[in-house]
Amino acid sequence: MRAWRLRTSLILLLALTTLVAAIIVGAAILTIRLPQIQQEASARAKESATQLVQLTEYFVGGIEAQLVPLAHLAAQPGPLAPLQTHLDTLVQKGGSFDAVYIANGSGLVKLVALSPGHRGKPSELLGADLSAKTLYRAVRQSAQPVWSDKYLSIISGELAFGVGLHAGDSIIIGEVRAQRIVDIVQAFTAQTQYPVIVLDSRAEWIAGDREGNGELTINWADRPTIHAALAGQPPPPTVSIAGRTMHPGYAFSPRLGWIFATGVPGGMANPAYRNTVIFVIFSLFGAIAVGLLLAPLWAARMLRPIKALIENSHRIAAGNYTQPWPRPGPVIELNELTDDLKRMTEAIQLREDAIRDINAGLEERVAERTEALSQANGELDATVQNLKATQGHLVQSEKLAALGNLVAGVAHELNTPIGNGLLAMSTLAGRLAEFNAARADGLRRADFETFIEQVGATSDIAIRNLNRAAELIGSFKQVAVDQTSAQRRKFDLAEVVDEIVVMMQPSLKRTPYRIEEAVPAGLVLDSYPGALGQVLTNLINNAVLHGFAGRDHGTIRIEAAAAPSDCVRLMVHDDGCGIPAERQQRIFDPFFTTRLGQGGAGLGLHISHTAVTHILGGTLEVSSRVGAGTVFTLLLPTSAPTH
Amino acid sequence: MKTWPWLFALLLTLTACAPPEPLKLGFLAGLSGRGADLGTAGRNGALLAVDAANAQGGIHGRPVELLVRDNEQSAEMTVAAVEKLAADGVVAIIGPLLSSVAQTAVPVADKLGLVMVSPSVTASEFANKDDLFFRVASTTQDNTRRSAEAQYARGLRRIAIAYDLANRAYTTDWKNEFRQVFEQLGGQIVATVEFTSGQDTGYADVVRQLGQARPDGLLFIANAVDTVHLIRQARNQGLAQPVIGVTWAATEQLLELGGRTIEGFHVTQFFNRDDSSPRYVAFREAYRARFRQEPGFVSVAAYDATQATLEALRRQGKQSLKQALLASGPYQGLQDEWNFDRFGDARRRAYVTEVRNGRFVVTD
Repeated sequence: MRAWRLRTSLILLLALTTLVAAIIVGAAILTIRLPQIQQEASARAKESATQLVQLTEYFVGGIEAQLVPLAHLAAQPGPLAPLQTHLDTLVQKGGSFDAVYIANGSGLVKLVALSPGHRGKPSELLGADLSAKTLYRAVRQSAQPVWSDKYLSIISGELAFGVGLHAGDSIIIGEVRAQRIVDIVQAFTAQTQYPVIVLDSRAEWIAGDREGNGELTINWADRPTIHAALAGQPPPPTVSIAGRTMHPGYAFSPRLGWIFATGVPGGMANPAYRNTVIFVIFSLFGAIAVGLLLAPLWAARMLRPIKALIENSHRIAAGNYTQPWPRPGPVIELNELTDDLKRMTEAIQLREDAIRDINAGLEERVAERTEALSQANGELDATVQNLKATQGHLVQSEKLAALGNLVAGVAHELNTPIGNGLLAMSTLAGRLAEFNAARADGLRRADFETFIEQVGATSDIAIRNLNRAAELIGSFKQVAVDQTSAQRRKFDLAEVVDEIVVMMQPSLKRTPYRIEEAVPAGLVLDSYPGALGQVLTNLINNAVLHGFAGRDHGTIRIEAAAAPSDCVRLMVHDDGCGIPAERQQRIFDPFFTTRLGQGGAGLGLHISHTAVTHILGGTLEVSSRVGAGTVFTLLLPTSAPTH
Repeated sequence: MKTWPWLFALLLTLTACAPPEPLKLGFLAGLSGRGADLGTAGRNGALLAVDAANAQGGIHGRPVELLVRDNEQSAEMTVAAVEKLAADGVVAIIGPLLSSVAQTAVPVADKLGLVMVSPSVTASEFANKDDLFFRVASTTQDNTRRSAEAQYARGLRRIAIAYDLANRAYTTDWKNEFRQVFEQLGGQIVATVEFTSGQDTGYADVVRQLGQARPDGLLFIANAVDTVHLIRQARNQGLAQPVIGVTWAATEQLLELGGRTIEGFHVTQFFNRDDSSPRYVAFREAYRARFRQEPGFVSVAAYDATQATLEALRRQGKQSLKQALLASGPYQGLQDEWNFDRFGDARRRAYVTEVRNGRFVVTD
């Protein structure tokens, strides 16, 4: 991890803290305030539209009111004709209507008054049938005055708005030029703070703020706000008009059925929104500036006593304990730290003195001990040398003992044929003496033939026994040569094993134990047959001495097979008592024996192991189960390493 | 802080993937003052056709935008409106609706190389001309012939005509064609009286002059308002003869303005309001839902005109729009299948209707 200077850390910490706090507060202000501003804007839009509606209603209400006295008069029983003057006055002086007419219950126009300058002739309008007119039908069905949509006036042929109300059974309709009302509403809308559009109930343009000349020519029903208004739903919270965000609001004029839609600018065009955003941004920058200005000053102030302490501790670390300590400062923890350091320094001084004394005594003792230790070491060395020499002697004497055993075996084995040969020859000599004595007496043919026969039989016995002896000697000679000469040669494994087994037979002959061979011919090794023979001899002896100890039967089985990577696996099984697991680890160690004092020197397996690994270049492993027997496995390379 | 909106706009242009530029189609009609109802009805029809095209993904992926211009019923504004539409880069103009406006607009559009497809101009003077002006409605000649034959067939022989000079191109055309056919059939035009709509001519005088010729039928070549006034004057003066009107007057307003006065009134028109074909019913429902009104003949004609133009644009390829319009037919209109002839004029079925119980009823 990267390490920082305390000064940098403090400045960063202070600046970051200020910044993060400012960001959190700013974000909180924005997330709480901005939606409020939007809601306020929507509310203001609606309010503005409602005010416009009220103004417009007030205005058209005034026009409508002019018809009310007339309606009262017309509702009185009696002929309508006297009302003509009232109608004329209303149209000529009232200043609102272009035409006023009264239609009877079946929709036929009975009285008409036209404004001055009107090109039509009142008389031509009498009797016109209004029964199919939407306005007429609407008035018939309503107790209240009714305003029409913009329509094509049959009176003027111009677009007009009509207002109609009941006058008893008759209906009075006043027509106002559409442009007149539109102009007034246009004047109202011009005074509002926000853009306004006024649409009739079919969403066709009536008045409002115009941006181009397209407003008149489109139908507005598909605009989101107007769509919502026509469906009686609340307006969408924001709309985008000509790339600007607006918060729309609308209100209906109940008399005219018109939609007044306004939009309060949203986003940065809205002053409250803009001010809030600017305020937050300035606060943010202000916080950063204050943080950046104050942080170094504060850090410097915090650092001064700490720096003094650090200098002191540097000096203490350098071993200088006498120094002025800083005066107590404003930070309690630092003062405590100073005091503690002071105490610690004193304690260190005391302990250092004590340690110096102890050290002085210690060096002497170390010198004494070192001398004693080197003496002991020398003695140990001598002992080890002795032991090694002893081990060498023992190995040598073990080998000699083995050789002795071998010689004893050989002597015994030779004893029989040579004894037989000797017996035969001494018998022959006896026969010859007898024959010579008999020859002096005169030989009979029968005696002569008997002698010949005896000589033949005896020589035959002698020759056979001497041949046997010669055979044995040849065999022993080979073994002796191999075992003593460490000679390397190519040999067939089966032959060597056979020779060893033959050589071991005499010593096993008087025991109940047997050796089985299962070594296939043709496994040729270029190795040291002497060493191999010694190993086999040791393993067989080991089985007899340890495996079969105290048993009345036992079989040793020798197997061999070719193994991968130019090796031969040779296994010596016995079905003896086995070796406990804890001993298996140690049986190849020198002087490890279970028969200490009973003649075993504990070197047999050690010698075998050394011969296999060092001379034959192979491995020797043991696996054994108590009660089931033991297997020694030799893995030998077909070509032994050269020494 | 004035830079904020600019920054915002810049960001928008940087991040937003710009949609394909819209294909602009002009619409020219009188949308204010007298005749605004006709203009609005036409505009609504054209809007529905454009909406339908956009709902199907526009023309080759480009959305269609209808630029609507009001000629404010004046010749100067007509010229200005056509020039403005050309400057805005429209590929064609749907309109105008009146023959008198077409007289002003067609030369301007021709000079600008702009195709105009009129839903309702019928005057014969535009017929058989190899120009950029296309018409979806039959010429007056066809309508007049049909009307004259129908009136002769019902037994009328002496007809008096009143016609409005305010739309002279249309009305004199009607008058002359009607006279020619009716007289060929063996009938007689006993009087022709002219008047100018909106000027201080009393309807009563006009009707009186007609009455003096003792006709057995009255033909009013006028708009809806004037036609209603003339009929009422005739009835007021005791003239009970059958009254005949022209396509111009056959609007929804006629029924509302006329009330019972116009019962039995005969009028030739371009479409059948009682059509129950699914195509037309769907159109009428959409129209009602969008504009809260019944569609008029101009709505239907403007829809057909716009749809044909869009179809031609879709199939234009490397041709000029004029060639495409001539080659892409026949077109499936709302009520019939139709085509342009080589002069860009259409022959459409005309319906002779009679007002019965406040409704137009097709009589043949």
